[in-house]
Amino acid sequence: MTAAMLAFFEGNQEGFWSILLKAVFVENILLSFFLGMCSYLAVSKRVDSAVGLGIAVIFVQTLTVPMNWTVWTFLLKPGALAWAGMPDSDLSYLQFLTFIASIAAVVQVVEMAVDKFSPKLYAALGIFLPLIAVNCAILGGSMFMVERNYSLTQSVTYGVGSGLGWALAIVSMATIRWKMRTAHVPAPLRGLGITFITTGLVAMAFMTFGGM
Amino acid sequence: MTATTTPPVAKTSPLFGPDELKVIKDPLWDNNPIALQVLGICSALAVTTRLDKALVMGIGVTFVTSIANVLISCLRNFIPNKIRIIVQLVVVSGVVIVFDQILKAYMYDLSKQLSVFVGLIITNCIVMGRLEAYAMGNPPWRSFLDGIGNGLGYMWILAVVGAIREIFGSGSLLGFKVVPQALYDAGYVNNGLMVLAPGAFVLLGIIVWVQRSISGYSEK
Amino acid sequence: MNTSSNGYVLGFAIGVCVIISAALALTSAALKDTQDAAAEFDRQKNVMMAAGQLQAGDTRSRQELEQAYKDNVREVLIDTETGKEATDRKVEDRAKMSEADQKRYRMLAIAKGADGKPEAYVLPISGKGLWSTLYGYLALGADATTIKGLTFYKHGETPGLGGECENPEWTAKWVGKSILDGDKLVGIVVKKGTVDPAVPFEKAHMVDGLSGATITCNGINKFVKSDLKAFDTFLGPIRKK
Repeated sequence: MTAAMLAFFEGNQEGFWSILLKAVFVENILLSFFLGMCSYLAVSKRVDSAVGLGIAVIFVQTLTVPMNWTVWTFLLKPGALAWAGMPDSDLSYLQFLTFIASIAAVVQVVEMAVDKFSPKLYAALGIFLPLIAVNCAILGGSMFMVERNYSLTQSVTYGVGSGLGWALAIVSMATIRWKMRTAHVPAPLRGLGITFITTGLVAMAFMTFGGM
Repeated sequence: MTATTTPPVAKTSPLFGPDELKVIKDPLWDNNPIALQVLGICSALAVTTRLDKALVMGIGVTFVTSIANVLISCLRNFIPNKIRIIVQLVVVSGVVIVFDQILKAYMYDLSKQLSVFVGLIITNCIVMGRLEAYAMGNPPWRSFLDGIGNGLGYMWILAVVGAIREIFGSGSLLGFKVVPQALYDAGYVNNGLMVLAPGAFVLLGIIVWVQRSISGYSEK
Repeated sequence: MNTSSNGYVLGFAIGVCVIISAALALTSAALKDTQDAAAEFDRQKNVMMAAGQLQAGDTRSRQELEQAYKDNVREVLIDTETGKEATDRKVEDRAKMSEADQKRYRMLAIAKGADGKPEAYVLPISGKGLWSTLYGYLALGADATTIKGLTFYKHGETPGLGGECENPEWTAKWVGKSILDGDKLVGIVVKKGTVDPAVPFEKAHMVDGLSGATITCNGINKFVKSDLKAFDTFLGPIRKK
């Protein structure tokens, strides 16, 4: 990262580019928070399916983070029901339940919409959508949004960024695994073991984007 | 993903016979959720910077898996197939919220450190995986044992990763200094990489390697 | 029973939702007081830690600690415009005040030593780091100038990088530094890199930076100084004594 870019970061701590770039590279939701590992491990064997799932995650993440922001801000967080005349309300304990339910609902709606309007896209993405409801990167994105107190625009940015970051990680891993098929890896290390170690190296490479 | 389905067993067996023992023992080693079923990796890595966090997370997953297994197993004949996944998600989130509330009330420090990762038990594939693969087809008592077994199988790997990361990353274990000061004086420094993500990945890769070398399992 | 009819599916879904929500509401209501008490106790521990009255590895029980807090620490509400204790308002009501009033009226904890005299002034500090708002306590000694201790009790910074701000080994480096350069309030500056003890200004007012956490450190510099400044009206007269 160049000095000019760094200066930009420090000047605008909460700016659009800063959140976006951090979510994609420095604080990659998969490589530094380990979220979405299960589908990552399962789907990174082939490049084309990794690309498909990656796009689906970007899409759903971009929709669900701002949506959960709305739910959180206007229904759940302490005092959120002030607009309905109940300033003492605190439904924050329902956070997990509501978030996962709205994610499942979004995934369902997206699946139906894609099926209706673009059968071609559905054929490509369809099988990945159900996988996404239980992808921790999606739920995690929404929870980080709450924990970090984002505004609506920031949460949209974060949704896009973390989705992009996840997609980037799985696609680069899939290409590495594709090459690795021809390598002589010791039998017990094959598959899961070597994938972890390689992911570690990729994560280390991503960390160097930090420098701040 | 290689979630295994265990065939339903005859209902006439004693309360705790050899079959039940097998249900508990299997996931500890031969069919370990992390090393062999490849489930629940997400949170396994994020919370293992210290041993106490890893243990509490392990207890949480054991609690949630076993209770959710029992609930779903009781309901298994009534759940409409169409909304199966949603019902499972709702039950799991309910149990997770209870765990989170208890943690906040009685172990405030740890709940603060685990932060969002308690909530992420919901999407921990172990929980959903066991519900689908076991609780939907087996009676409550066995499902409970299966939950306990898988939770413990998950916990010991977490504990090993957590212990190694804490010793090498912070020089302590459960918060007590274990690396003698003399070593620091001689120029030893804590390995900061252990606390960060890449250390965790590499370490887990090696643990899987060791586990599979001993158990003789290999992919393809 | 036909478990795939629409009516059954709908009824089942509603039933599950109602039962689970009821169970959760019950748990939440039952545990609320214990949770609030736990959070309050955690806060008190942090104040005592900043004030140097509680060290890691302390074996006192929770009751004893709560009693010690009650005996030794007095929380007051300071009107930062006049620099006096606000007599017409209470500390407990601060959370309900308007934003402008919260800025003006601030909580301050005064910890007294064995001789009964104030031993530390503990000010709440908070502000943005890289990802999140950090919350902590900064304690000044009886001279209201030297740092006595620092704790961060809530933040969402990256573990291992910015999250190291709560590491006792790092906060210990703050102890003994001075927030005044002559008469000028300089606060404490977290340096990027290590402090050079040969430079007097660095030795007196600066602490080592956290590696890989420049933005967190810059944030800390900023809000520590502005929070100290807010209390200047109150702390100034104490310094002159």
